[in-house]
Amino acid sequence: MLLKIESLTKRFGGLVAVDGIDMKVEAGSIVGIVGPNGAGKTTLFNLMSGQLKPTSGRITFEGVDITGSKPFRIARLGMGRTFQNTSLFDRLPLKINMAIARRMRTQSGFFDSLVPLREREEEADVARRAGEALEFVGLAGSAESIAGSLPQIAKKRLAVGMALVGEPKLVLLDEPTGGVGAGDISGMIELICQIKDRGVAVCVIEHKMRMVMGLSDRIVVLNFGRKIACGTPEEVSGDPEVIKAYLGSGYSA
Amino acid sequence: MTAENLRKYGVFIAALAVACFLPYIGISKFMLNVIIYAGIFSIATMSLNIIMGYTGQVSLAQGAFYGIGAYGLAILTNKAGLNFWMAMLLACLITAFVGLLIGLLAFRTKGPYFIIVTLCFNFIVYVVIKNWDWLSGGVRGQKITGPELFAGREARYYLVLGFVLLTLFIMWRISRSLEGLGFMAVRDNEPLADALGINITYTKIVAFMISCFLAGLAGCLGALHTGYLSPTSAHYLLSFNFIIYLLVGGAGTLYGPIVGTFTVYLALEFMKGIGEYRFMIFGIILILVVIYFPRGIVGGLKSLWKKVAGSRQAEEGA
Repeated sequence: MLLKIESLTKRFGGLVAVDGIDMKVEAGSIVGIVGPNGAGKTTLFNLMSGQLKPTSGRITFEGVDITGSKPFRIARLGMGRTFQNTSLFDRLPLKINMAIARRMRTQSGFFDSLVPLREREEEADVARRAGEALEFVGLAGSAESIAGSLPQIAKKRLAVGMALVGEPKLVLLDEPTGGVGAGDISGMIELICQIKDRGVAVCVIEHKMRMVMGLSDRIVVLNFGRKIACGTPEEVSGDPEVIKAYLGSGYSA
Repeated sequence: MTAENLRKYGVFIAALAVACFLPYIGISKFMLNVIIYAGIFSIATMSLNIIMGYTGQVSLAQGAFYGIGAYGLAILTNKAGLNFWMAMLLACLITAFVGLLIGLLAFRTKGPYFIIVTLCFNFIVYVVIKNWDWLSGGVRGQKITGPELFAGREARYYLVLGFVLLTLFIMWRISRSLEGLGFMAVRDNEPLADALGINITYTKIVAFMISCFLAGLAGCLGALHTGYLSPTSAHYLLSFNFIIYLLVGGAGTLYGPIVGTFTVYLALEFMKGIGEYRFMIFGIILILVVIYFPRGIVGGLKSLWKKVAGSRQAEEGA
């Protein structure tokens, strides 16, 4: 089991944002996390990748207990992520964005920058991998562009590439099609499938139900911080509680 | 040489050529003195550029580290009787070590709080140096005697020029190295850098230690050139000066610190005739620069060049 979450809880004062959630992610699979606004999806991501410390519960990644670890340590263990608001280094070119994302896999420090022996090799490797990652997300042509000037879909793709360039075993994608035009959605779905083909597991938060149903191996449904259902898309979409809480009576699978 | 290279290195090579012969083109002793100080302060401003321009942490303690370097050198040569160069290296290392201790403490805070902590530290250092008579000589100060070789003004000029070039080389390497990428990541987006596996605290402390080492170096050179040290060598007003030099020249640019230091320091020296009024004029200029050239003179020239080159390309394309 790649990722295992046991009775994870996060309280903000009186509010229980995440309430005793159990969840598993198998290596190389896609897990969709769905639920209405305020269900605790992003909070769950922030707990998994270390931006927030859980109130109680346990998270293990490849058998290593990462509960309450710092984000950079979790990232180095092999969990990449994107943010809902598409966080990038807006003032820097795409290739530099990618290079920064690869930085954690390099050893060179300050003294290597003065006497660049090891640094030269690593720089070449970083440049090559940055190029590959840009190619993979379909942005090879704009390597020199400034990240902040990109259209929304390109920003989302760049963020996905940056999460991948550090060779993670699991990536968390927070609404990869949020704010993206309808015509660009199929491209993003295709990209997520390609990530899976590379053997990288994906956890994806998504509002577009049909998209998640088509994409995911397993689905976890949250409501008010609780897990109300989990299983294959077929199992979940037939679950009466899910239909009541989220899908509404009008939905048919 | 292509046009691109000419633009990149032409100005630098021309400036370097002038700098090499500067003491022999008939400038006054006073002028050479001013230029030596500007060189020393530009090392201090480059040190600030590492932590403020590249890593995004505004430190108001550079004056203190300048002073620690200067007093470290004085105490190690006068009281411990060390060889001058040995003492200088050790003084810079001590400054970096103090930077490590302060960094461990101060980087628990962020943004404005970090600025306040560093300013407080600067104030403490100033007060300590003023009052620890037995170590620093207090308000009486102390003398420093450099090596015989650098007794002459011209020789000191070339020494400072050498260290300015060395510091510039270090800055150039950092600005395009993997370590520098980490600095810029921390500056531009801390939460994202953290999520991408960059150890924020470690990165800040490394940047701060390099910065302090170089501030200490500037302090050593300042002490050598003046030949005398008083507590004002660690005054917090120095920290503000360095910030002003950096803002005017361009934070986060390679040549910004040197351009800014020479522009501001020389301008203020030439305006000495009008007394304190010069600070008023200067204040207005500073406000205008910050509003209209947020990336300083060098940053402003860069974007201007881009516009010119862009329109030229557009004309050629038409």
